Amino acid sequence: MNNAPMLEKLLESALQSINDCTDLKDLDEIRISVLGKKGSLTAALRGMKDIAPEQRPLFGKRVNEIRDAVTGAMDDKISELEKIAKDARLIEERIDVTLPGKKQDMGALHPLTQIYYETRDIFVSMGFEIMDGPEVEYDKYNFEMLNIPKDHPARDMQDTFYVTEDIVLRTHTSPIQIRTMLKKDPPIRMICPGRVYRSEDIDSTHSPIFNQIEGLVVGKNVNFAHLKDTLDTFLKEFYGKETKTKFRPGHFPFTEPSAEVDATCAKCNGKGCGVCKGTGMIEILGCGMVHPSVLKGCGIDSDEYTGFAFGMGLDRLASIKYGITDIRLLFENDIRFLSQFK
Amino acid sequence: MIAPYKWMCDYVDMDIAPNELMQRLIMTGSEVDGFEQLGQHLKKVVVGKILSIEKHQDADKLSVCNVDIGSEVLQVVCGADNIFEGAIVPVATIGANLPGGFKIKKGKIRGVYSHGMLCSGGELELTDADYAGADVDGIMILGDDLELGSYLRDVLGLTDTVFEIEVGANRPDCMSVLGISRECAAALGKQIALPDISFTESGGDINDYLKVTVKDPELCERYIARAIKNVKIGPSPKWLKERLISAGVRSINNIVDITNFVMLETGQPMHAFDYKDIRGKEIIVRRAHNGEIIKTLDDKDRTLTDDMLLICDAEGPIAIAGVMGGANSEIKNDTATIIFESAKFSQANTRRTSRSLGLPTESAMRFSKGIDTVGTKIAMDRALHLIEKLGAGEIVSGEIDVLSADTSSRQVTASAKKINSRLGTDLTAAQMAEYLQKVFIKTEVNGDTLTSDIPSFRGDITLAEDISEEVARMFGYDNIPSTKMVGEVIRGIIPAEERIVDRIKSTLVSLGCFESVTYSFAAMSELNKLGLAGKDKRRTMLKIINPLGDEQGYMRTSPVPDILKVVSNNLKKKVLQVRLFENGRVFFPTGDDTELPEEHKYICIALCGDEDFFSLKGIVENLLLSFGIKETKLVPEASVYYHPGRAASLYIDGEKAGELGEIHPDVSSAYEIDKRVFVAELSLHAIMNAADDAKKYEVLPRFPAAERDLALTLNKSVPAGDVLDCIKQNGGEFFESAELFDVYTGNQLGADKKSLAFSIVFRAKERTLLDEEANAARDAVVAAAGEAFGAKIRG
Repeated sequence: MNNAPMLEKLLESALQSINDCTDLKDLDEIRISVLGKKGSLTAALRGMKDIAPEQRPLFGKRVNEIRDAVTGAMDDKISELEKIAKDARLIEERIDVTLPGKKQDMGALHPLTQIYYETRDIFVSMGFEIMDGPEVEYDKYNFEMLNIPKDHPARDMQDTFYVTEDIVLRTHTSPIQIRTMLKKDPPIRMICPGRVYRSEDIDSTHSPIFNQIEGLVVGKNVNFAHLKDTLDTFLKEFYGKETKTKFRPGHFPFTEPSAEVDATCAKCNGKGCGVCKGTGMIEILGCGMVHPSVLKGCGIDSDEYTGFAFGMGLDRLASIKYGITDIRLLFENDIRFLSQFK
Repeated sequence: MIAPYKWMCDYVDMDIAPNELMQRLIMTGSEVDGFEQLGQHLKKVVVGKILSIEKHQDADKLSVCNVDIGSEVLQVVCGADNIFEGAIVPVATIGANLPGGFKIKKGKIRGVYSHGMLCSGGELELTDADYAGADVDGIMILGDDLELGSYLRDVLGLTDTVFEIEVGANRPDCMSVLGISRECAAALGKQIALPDISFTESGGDINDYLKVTVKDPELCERYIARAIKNVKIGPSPKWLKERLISAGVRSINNIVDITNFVMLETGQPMHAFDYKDIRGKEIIVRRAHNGEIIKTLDDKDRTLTDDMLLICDAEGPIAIAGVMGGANSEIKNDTATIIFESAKFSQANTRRTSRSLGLPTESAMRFSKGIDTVGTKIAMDRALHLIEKLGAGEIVSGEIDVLSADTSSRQVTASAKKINSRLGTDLTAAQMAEYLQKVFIKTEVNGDTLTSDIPSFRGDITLAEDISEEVARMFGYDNIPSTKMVGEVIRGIIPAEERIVDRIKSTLVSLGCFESVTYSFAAMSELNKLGLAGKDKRRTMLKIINPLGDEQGYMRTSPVPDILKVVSNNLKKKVLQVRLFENGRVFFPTGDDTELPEEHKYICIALCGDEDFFSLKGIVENLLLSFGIKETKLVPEASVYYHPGRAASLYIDGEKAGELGEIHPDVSSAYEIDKRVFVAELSLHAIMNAADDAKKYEVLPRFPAAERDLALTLNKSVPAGDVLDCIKQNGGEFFESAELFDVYTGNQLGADKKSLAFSIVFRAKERTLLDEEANAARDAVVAAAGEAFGAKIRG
């Protein structure tokens, strides 16, 4: 019997079934029916004993070729079916990306801290060191060494909480400047942030406790032009490059000359609005050249060294920057308020 | 300080828009708050005469008037019943904008046209003080002599524009119209015309009238007295009334008006005594006796103390020096002879007296800021000039002047080079002298040296630095350049402590906490709410002498009340999940009240909502771990305001570093918190001291670990932490780590028993650990736990 046509038929039918197959399970059945122990190709191989010996090598070779062809076709089909299945799964797995994310809920820094960080970063980058001091302070450091003796009219401006006749709740962070000058030789370049106290009733713009940041530079040939540049640089960094500043004469007992500094109103960009009372500028800080008697009082030779000092309210900076119209919000700690500053 | 524009034009020849003048003043150093045109709301209110009155046809209570306002006769409907034909009245014409935003429009009232409104004093915000009779119930009836159609503003003298100026403590000279005028002249580059102080004496001798003794020259450096005879008390002329009204001062009579005018003009308070009331013809300036009483001009008895200065006659006080006159010697309608006083009283003393008596009078305010001793004499002469000008009396010859102050002229020298180096400018000495001249400081230049004659009213200028400020403000701060700082490079430094605080804050924020900021004040009642015992250190608080109120009477010793209040407020606002922290200070008196209190910095955390003790403990552990702090111990004991079974003290390296736990239900309910709330108080310094940032790489293990799970049954009262410690100590050389993964209690264990399940990891560094070795190590742990706690392996 000539088995050759039977072999070719077997191949053709196997390839056809593989080609038609759409399921991996069916494919496996095809594999078993062709290549398995009881499969058609295995049966054909068993039938080789009935073939003329001279034809056997050729027949065997052909069987092997067919096995390879079927196996190859099967592998291709497997890949194809797997890819189809994977594509289907990927489509199946499509998600709604607009559903809410799984968050580890974060808290937030208080807006006053955030404003402080901003100001601190700018001053530290300009070479300022941060100094700290007590909130309950000697009258001597808070007033007397700053040219404000007892009964000085300037004490009216700063209604003070007293603990004893000689100890007060600091009304500004200037006593840290005094403490720094007492223990450190020039050059000095420092800022002193902190909580300060004034005897004012609480309303939307006043608080008996608020936060200040003051600065001091003492060195040789430090002058008013340096003061102007330093504060100008700070305000431009803080409020933006377009910010304009205006220095006008002011008065503080501990500086001479003294100045008040206005900056472009951040709310209206200088156009004039309710916040700046239509002027386009808003008062931000006070500053001046350190009074020689303040330097002398701290043991610094005022002929050799000069210095400038400045101070501003963080609460005010925060109110302006964030548009907070009632500073009581800063101390109420309503989480709905605090979460706006995440 | 109120500075009327027209009044200032008496001294400075200026013609400038108010806003422009304000800007110029601001840029040369006056703190101008703003300006206001007086009588703005009286525009279009004119003087009219009622020609006829008829009843309104449809309304009993209304009348229809014909009113002559000079240029025309208006028909006006009026409801008042005090009007009469021929009455002179204020008429608000169409377009008037009365106080309170009330606009007058043409309209019909019950069918009858009304072309304006007759006004009451109230409708114009006027009282008897502004115009006699303004308080009447009904329409204001004006004087017959007024011209019909004239503006009521002019009648009242409300014609000026006034500037409101904040005067700094350094410039008492600006507490006067003349002082502000000098600033205007300086700002505009103008000259100033000083007021006329000439007068003629009319004979007699002051010494026959009066003797003055100053017993306390320290508190009264100058006392000038003058006598005026044949005084004719009467009304002041219109110009004087207008000046006073523009400055917001009522006109009383010519003599009182002169004293007020001179004070407003020159800044020197003046006083006038009725001579006949000066007993013994003698004035003695002395301190009061403790408990001495004077009835002041406002008819109130004032009890004095011995640090207050008095003006007395031979028998007793007639004025509180510089603060207020006595009722017994005030000017009356029949006063015939007066004594004028112009004096310099001590700044500090007047200030204290005025404060303690609660009498912040215009006079006291000026003395408190300090006045010019030379000006004391000028003011007296000015007052005498006005007496003569008004024909109010005859000036007795001679003056009593008790003077102990130094009134000699002062000079200050300065180096132009130093001024330039202070300001960062490049001005010549001559330019500086020119600027100084503008502010009335005559300056001579000699090379680099400026020698300035300081006017007596500029007591604030004593140093070369003060001169530099005058130069700067006249040169213009805008004209000073901005120059980058030069010199040695200085490193910006954030101190270690602050960096640690930063890290604490950022860790807590990432753990879901919001930073809160509360006041550092405290009340005793808050400590009672916490239930702190009498001997607790935190009950000794630093007391504020002059607090805003009882609730803010002390400096806090605990952060807990404030954070509980914040939790409570948030819950009330329906914020259900609360995680908060505060970084602040508490204050502990040292017991020696000449020393500052100790200030301790803390971190306080509060949780409320879907939380428990272990979520709080987890946050604290995470926080400590971020500083490399692993060696901590919790001991189950804490302050009384914590739940007795759910709170602990935290120890780091054997030192107490804080407390944490659930707040006692009594305390939470005292703060109106109806949920469990958890609080941790940590000492910043404990964290700082223990913080260990020395991180080091350890070789990763190359050989597999042997894990052994172990369930131990033991008494419930044994803390799991102690068992864990025991395992760590007895794990042997191969011990690597141990973790508690389950706590079980159940009937089959027995009521007082629990089972703790640990997972223990053993490992050898250089080889694979043998099973037998791991088992032996586990057995050692079991034996140790058995011995220490009676623990048995759970069967």
